[in-house]
Amino acid sequence: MSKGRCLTVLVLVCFLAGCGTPRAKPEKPPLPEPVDVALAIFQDTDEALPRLNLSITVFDVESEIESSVYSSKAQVSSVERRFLPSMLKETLDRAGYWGAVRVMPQTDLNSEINVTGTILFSDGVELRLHVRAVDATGWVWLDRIYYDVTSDLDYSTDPNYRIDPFQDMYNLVSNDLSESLDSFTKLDRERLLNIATLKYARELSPETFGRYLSEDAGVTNLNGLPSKNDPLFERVQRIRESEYLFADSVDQHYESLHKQIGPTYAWWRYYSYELIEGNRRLTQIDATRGATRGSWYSMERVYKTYKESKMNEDALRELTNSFDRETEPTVADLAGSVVRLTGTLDRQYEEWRRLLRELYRDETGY
Amino acid sequence: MVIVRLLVRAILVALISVQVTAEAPNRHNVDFSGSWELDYQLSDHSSEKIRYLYVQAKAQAERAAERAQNSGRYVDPRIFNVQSVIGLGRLAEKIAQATVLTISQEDDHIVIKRNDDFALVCDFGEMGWKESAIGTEGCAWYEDQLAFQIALPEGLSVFHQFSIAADRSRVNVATTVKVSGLAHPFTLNRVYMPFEPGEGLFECTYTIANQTSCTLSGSNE
Repeated sequence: MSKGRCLTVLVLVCFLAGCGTPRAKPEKPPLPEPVDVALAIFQDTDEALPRLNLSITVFDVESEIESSVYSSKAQVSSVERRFLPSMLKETLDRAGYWGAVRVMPQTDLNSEINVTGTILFSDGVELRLHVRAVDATGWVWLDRIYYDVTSDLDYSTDPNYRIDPFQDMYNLVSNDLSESLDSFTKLDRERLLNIATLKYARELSPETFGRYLSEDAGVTNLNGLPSKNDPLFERVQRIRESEYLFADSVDQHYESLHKQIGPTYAWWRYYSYELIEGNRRLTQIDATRGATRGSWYSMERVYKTYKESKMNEDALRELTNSFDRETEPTVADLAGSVVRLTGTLDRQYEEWRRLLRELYRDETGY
Repeated sequence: MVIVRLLVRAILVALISVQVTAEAPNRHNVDFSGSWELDYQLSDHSSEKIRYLYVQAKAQAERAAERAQNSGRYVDPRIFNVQSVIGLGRLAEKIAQATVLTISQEDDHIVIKRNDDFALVCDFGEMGWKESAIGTEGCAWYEDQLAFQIALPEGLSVFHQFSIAADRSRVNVATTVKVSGLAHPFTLNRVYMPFEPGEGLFECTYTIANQTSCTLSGSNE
C-alpha cells in the first residue's frame, strides 16, 4: 500500500472512530485504608532535658486554582493553609514534647526546628500533606508525604464535626517528630540550642558571631561559644527575648483565625465529604437497576441518577461559595488590620528583623 | 493518486475546521446573562410535537414496508421502531422541563441555573469532554451558540444548544435526546424571555452552619 493510501486509511479510521468522542481519564489508584493513630504523649523522665522550640510556617498549596468557576475553592485553600498548621500546632502542644510551638508566616530564624508543609490535596474525604522539618543545624528530621482518608465513622462521632476527621494524620506527624526527638541526647539538644542562638546572633551581626559557626554541605557546625559574660552576646539574648514576644503575638493571630473559622470550616468539610461520598456511591451502583436494559424506564433511571449526582455537585458549589462569603471578611480583616496575615505579615516580619539589626548596631556600634 | 491526496486534504481541513469551530472561545461575545422565563407561545409543545413526529414516522414506516412487500422482501417491522418517537419525546420533555433560567456569565465561565434541575456549568478555559460521576460531559462554542453535551450509559446522549436573539429578547434552548441504535433523535425547542425577578415574600440566606434561614421581606427580625 502506498504512503498516501496508508494516510487516508489512518485519517478515516481516526474520523470514524470518533476523534471527538470523550477520552477516558487514567484510573485513579484506590484510596488507602484509613489507619487509627494514637498520639504519643510525653512521659516525664528523671533527667531534665532542655525543651526545643518548634515553628510551623503557614502551609503552601501545591496548585493554585485559577478557574473562576471554582474560584471559591481558592478561598477554601487560602483558609486551609493557615488553618491546618494550627491543627498541627494544637496536636504538638498536646503531645507535650516541645517548648513553644508557634505558627509563623515564614521560616522562623529564632526557632530550633522549623516545620513547613504543602497541601497536595484536600476535599473533605482525603487529605494529602507534604511535611518537612529541618532544625537549626540543617538536619532534616522529617520529609514525608502524609495522607489520610475519612470515613463515616470519623464524622459520626462528633455531632458538631469539631473533632478533626484527619486527626490521625496530625497524630502521625507529631509521633514522627517526637520519635526523632527521642534519639536526641541532652548534649545533642544543648548543641542545637547553642547553634540556634548563634545563628540568630549571626543574623544580627555576622562580623561578630560568624566565626562561631561554619557551614559544610548545608549543615551548620559549632566551632565554639562566646563567653557567657560577653556583653554583645548578652544583648543578643535580650533582643531574642523580645523577638519571642513578637512571635507569640503573631502566633495568636493564627490562633484567633483558627477559632473563628474552625466551625465553618468543619461544616464545609463535612458537607463536602457527604456530597463526594454520595457521588462515589452513585458511580458504583448500576443506574439501570431494576429495569430491563434498553427500555425507556432504564433510560429514565440513568438520567435520574445523573441528575442526582449533578445536583450534589451544585450543592457543593453553593456550599463552597458560602464558605467564601463567610470567611473572606475574617481573612480580609486579619489581613487588613495591622497587616497581620498573608503577605503583609511577611513584610512586617521582615521589617521587624531589619529593626532588630539596626537596634543592635545602634547599641553596640557593630 | 491525485484523488487520494485531495481526499486526504479535504478530510484534514474538515477535521481542523470542526476542532476550531468547537473549541474557539466566545469570539462573538455572546452574553446569556440574566433571568429568563419560559415563553409558552413560542416554545415547542411536546405532546403536539410527539404526535406530529409519530404520525410522520408511522407513515414513513408504512411506505417503506409497502415498498419492501412489493419487491418481495421480508422486512422486520421492529426496525422502524415508531414507538421510540414517543419514548424519546417523553424523555426530552422531562429533561427540558425548566421554566426559569438564571444565568450568570463571566469572561471565563457560565453558570446556568435551572429551576428544579441541576445547573449547566461551562468553564471556557477548559472546554471539551470531562468525566462526571456518571458518563461524560462537555461544552463548546459553535459560532454564537453554546452547546452542552452529555453522554450517559445505555447509549443515551443529551445536547442542549443555547442561542440568543440579537436584541436579547429571547433565548432558545434546543434540547436533543438521542439513543444509539435509533435513527432519529428528538429535539425540543424551548424559548425563554427575560424577566425581572421580583422580591419574594421571604428573604433567605444560606450559611454553612445554619443552613438556609429565611425571614419575611422587610422584616428586621
